[in-house]
Amino acid sequence: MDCIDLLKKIEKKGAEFSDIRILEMDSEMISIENGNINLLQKKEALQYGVRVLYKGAWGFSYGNDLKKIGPAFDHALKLAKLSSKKIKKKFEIKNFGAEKAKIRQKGTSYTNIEIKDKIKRLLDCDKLLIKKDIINRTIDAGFLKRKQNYFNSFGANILEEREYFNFAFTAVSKRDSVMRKIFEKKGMCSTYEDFESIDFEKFILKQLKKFDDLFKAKKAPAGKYPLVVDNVLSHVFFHEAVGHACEADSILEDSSVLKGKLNEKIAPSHLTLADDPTIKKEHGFFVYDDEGIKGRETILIKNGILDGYLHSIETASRLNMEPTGNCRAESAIDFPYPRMSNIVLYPGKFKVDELFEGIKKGIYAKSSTGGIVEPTSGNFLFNTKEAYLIENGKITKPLLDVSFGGNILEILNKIEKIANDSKVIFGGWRCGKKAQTVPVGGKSPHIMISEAMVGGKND
Amino acid sequence: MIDKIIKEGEKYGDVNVILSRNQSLEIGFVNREIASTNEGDTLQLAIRISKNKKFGYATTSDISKWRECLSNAVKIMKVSKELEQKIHLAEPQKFRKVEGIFSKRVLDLPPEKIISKGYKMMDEIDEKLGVPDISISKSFEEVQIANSNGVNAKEKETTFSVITEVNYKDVNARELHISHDLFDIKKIGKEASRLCLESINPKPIPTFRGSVILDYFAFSGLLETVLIPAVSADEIHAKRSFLHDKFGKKVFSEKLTITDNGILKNGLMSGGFDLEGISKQKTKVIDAGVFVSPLYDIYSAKKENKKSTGNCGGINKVPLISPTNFVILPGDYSRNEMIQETKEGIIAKEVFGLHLINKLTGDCSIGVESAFYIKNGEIKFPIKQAMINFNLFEELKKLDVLGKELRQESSVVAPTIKCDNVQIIG
Repeated sequence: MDCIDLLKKIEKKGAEFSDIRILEMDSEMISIENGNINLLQKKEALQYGVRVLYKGAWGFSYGNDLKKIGPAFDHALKLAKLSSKKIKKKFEIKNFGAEKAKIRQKGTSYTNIEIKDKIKRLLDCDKLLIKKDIINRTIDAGFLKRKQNYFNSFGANILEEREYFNFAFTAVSKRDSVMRKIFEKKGMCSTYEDFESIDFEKFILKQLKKFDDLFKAKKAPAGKYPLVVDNVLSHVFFHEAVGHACEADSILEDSSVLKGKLNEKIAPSHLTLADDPTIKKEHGFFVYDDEGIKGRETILIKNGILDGYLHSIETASRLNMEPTGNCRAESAIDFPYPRMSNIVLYPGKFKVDELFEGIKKGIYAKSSTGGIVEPTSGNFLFNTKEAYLIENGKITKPLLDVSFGGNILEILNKIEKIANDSKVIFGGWRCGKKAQTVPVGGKSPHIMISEAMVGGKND
Repeated sequence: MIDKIIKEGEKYGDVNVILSRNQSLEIGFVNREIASTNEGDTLQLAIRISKNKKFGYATTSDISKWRECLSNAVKIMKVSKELEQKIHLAEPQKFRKVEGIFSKRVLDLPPEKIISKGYKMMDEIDEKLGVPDISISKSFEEVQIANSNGVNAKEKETTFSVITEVNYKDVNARELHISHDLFDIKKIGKEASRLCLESINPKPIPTFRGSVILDYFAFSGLLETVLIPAVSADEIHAKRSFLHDKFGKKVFSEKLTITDNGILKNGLMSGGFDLEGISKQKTKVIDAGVFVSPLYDIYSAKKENKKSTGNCGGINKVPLISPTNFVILPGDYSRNEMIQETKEGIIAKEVFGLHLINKLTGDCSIGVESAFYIKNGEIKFPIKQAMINFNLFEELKKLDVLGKELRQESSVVAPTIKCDNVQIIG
């Protein structure tokens, strides 16, 4: 079946725009628990997804059986027609240009490596976790290879291959009937050479040292305190709290606190934030998005002023702006939406030590188990993996399970200092939206927030 | 095809096959306008080959390539390590037909009808409110399971669901419902509208200790995150569950009784069989506060010389246990009575940040959404932003006040509850 012919056919039937994604995915997952392999699987998937735009309305049809792509176009057109009868706010799609490219993944694919070699590597890692106080341990690894063919009626034709790997471990330690857990992960958009070159052994041993502090840790105080936030947590914070609000669909849907704030000052002037899919090997890397638009750095906040949004072709057409190459879908059976890639906070002028200076009582919040933001109100909540009390400018005691919350617009203006220690995260993070997850990453320095709500406990 | 796979697979060991097909249609509305119409037809074939203590698992969405999928499973089995014990297959048995999981009305519902239902529902939402997102979807799923012991069964189910979000300035509200059959979706729009209107002009609250009334979504979310994993036999065997040494002991308040009921009429997770081919059934998990039984699949049950409770949630992992309908026995309070009995506290429809909870210790430090401040038995005003901090296990030990009405939107079937003397952070 010829995709270009199908696109032409549906155009003759009245479609203003149409596109097709055909995605092949191979994946392997290995999970080791207490030395036993309890999950070992191979998945193969072949999917298609076709979109048809008719009089400003979308129809989308997807499936696995490639023989049904022709009928799928007809179904999508039928749905678009039904929908167009009702739509009042129509939009005209703009042709921002169509590229043709073939992006091949260089390097050794994990598919060329025997599973038993990967298992051996993971079992070696597992041995490091065998310790008297560790009552449960897991090692997980996942490999994914994806090859997508994209065609649209503007003439775009992109073939892009990418490979990902993830590595994670957990260790539960029990000392005097108290249990504490460490969970850490790494992930990259890269091939097997990088999986091999990472010193997971060193990584694990470094993390295990944190148990001593975790057992000494006390509950954080509840109330409002200054925070120093490390690289990992600050990238999660900017991703959740600011990045999502910059996705242009949320602006159009009226569900972003940043709506109507373009070119307004929303943050201190020492703050510049961007989205950048071109950071090589970081989890959110890609060359072309899922509409065949080339990814690039997009400045979101420039010196404190809201400077841009993240776009799909549709949102750029509707808002009369340029597309940014941020339209992404989890797979071909998902409708693509504006999404972040790698969030980048530009480094500031302070040394990390200088962030702690002058804090009488505060919290040093490190790494994160995740966060959540309510986009309309801008209220957010984050959890730290590790936290410490800051007293008179010095880190004093370890703290447990600190969550902190607040409101985006209020907190942005409370970012007093940004450090100069920018770092690519390589954490294998995924971002969820509209029931889809996509790989994301970032690059961020330490920051100091003058006041945030800390969800501890006052005795 | 399934017969062929089993015949071919038997050369290498015991075979389990799951073939599932899902047809879905989802209509989305943004700002009171139709915005997306998605339809899909997907397939998945999953094969597990096991021999003695080893197994391999592979899936494909391209069922014409079943031979490759089978050979992947065999390849994986060969490199895998031995488990502690042999993997057993389900014996052929007669499966019960569960009522209320398939509706021809849902299957036949055309997209035009869904679109017009959506517009009618939006008419129920107050004009001054924004409607950023409504999604109405229907799906039809057919699952066939078979094994080399002679089990071969098929089941069909339909789902119809609606979720709506409404907002006004920086205030928002959400309402949803999921069912196997059609229902009046106008009610969902009406409810979201009411909640959002009541949430306008939120005010901050101080940090204090007081009562917290958790509505269905808040309570079911906590149970799903913390309690459901803890009653899985696998988590217990691995000592990852706080219940691992509590079998037969009183762990919670005697007001708390929980039954996993896989044959509940109209239950969202009901069905004739689990994914290993064991009949779904009723299992009492917590009886008046006493932990009476974990949930098992075949593998975890064999470890204790017991029978599977029909809770196998997948064959990619051994064991893999998941709940069916996790039913909490209701109490006798109405929602209003709970509010009237509150001196000072809050009522929250939803909590957020569940994935941030420490499941090991039960410590919860989470945000509340659609929450209201209560003083002297009356709701006073909507809350701007607040967090609550408590230990779920401790709260369930003290639990005294449960609502009399049950609701189900996930695997949990639960009432509203009230907890006292909880740290509330404003």
